[in-house]
Amino acid sequence: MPQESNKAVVQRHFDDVLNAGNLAVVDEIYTDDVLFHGPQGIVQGKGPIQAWVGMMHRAFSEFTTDVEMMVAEDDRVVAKVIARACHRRPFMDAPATDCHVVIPMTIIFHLRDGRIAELENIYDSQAFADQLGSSLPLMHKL
Amino acid sequence: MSVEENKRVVERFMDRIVLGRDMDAVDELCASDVVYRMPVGVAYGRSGLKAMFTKTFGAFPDCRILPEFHVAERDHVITRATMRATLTGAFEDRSPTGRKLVLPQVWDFRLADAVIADIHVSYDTRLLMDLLGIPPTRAVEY
Repeated sequence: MPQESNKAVVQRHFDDVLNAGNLAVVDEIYTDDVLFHGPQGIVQGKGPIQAWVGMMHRAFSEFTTDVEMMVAEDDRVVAKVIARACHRRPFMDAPATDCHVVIPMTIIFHLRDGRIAELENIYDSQAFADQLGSSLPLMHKL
Repeated sequence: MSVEENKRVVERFMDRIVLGRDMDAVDELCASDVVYRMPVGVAYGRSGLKAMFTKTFGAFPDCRILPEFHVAERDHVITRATMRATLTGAFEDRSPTGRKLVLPQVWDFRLADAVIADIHVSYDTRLLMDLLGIPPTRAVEY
C-alpha cells in the first residue's frame, strides 16, 4: 500500500536523519527540489535540511524525536511527534542552558515518487522558548 | 465509518461551526463527551466546546479559519488550516490598518461512532502573538 511505504520513508526522516544525524540519508529520501518550511521561511533543496539538522545536533545533545502517531493518505503523511533534547551549546541567541526540552510537534510531509518533496513543521515555539528560559524572537521561524 | 465519511463530518464541522459559527451543529457533529484541546486551554463536552468557540470568536470577530487539505486514515482526520484576519485595532506603536494575520494551524480530529470525539488544535502561539503585535514575556524562573 502506498501509505505504508510513504510512512516508512517518513520514519527514516526521524530515525536516520533527525535522531542519528545521518546526513547521507538526505540524498536518499528527499527530492532535489524538496521544500522545507524552516528557519528562513520556505527554502528549497537538500542543503537547508542538512544545515538545520547539523545546527540542532551541534546545540542539542540527546536529541530524539519519538513518533506518537502517523496518519497517511494519498501522497501525504502527517506525523505527530515529541522532540526531546538537552541544550548543551549556544543556539541562536541563547547561551547553553543545560535545559531539557520536550516539545510536541506536527510535521506534514508531501511525497513524490517515494521521496519527501515538502515538509512543514507546526509547533508552539513559545513553549520551546519558555523551556529554554528565553524569549527568542526568531524561534517561531524554526 | 469510512475515511470518506469521517472527512465529510470534519468538513461539515469546519464549515458550519468554525466558519459559520453555528453552535447548534456541535450537538449533531460532536460526541457528548467531546474533548477539545488547543495550546491555551482545554474544553470538555459540548457546552465546553461551544463556550470555547464563542470566546474565541469574540476575541477575533473577523477571523476566518479555512481548511487547506485533510489527511485521513483509520479514525483520524488531520486538517491543515489557515487562520486569517485583517487587524484593525491599534496596538502600541504598530500601524493599525490593514495588517494581515495568517496563522498556520493543524486540527487533529478523532472520530468514533460517526461523530467527533476529540479535537487537538496546534499552532505557534509565539507567531500568533507576534502577528498581533504582543511582545513576548519572559518565562517565570523559579
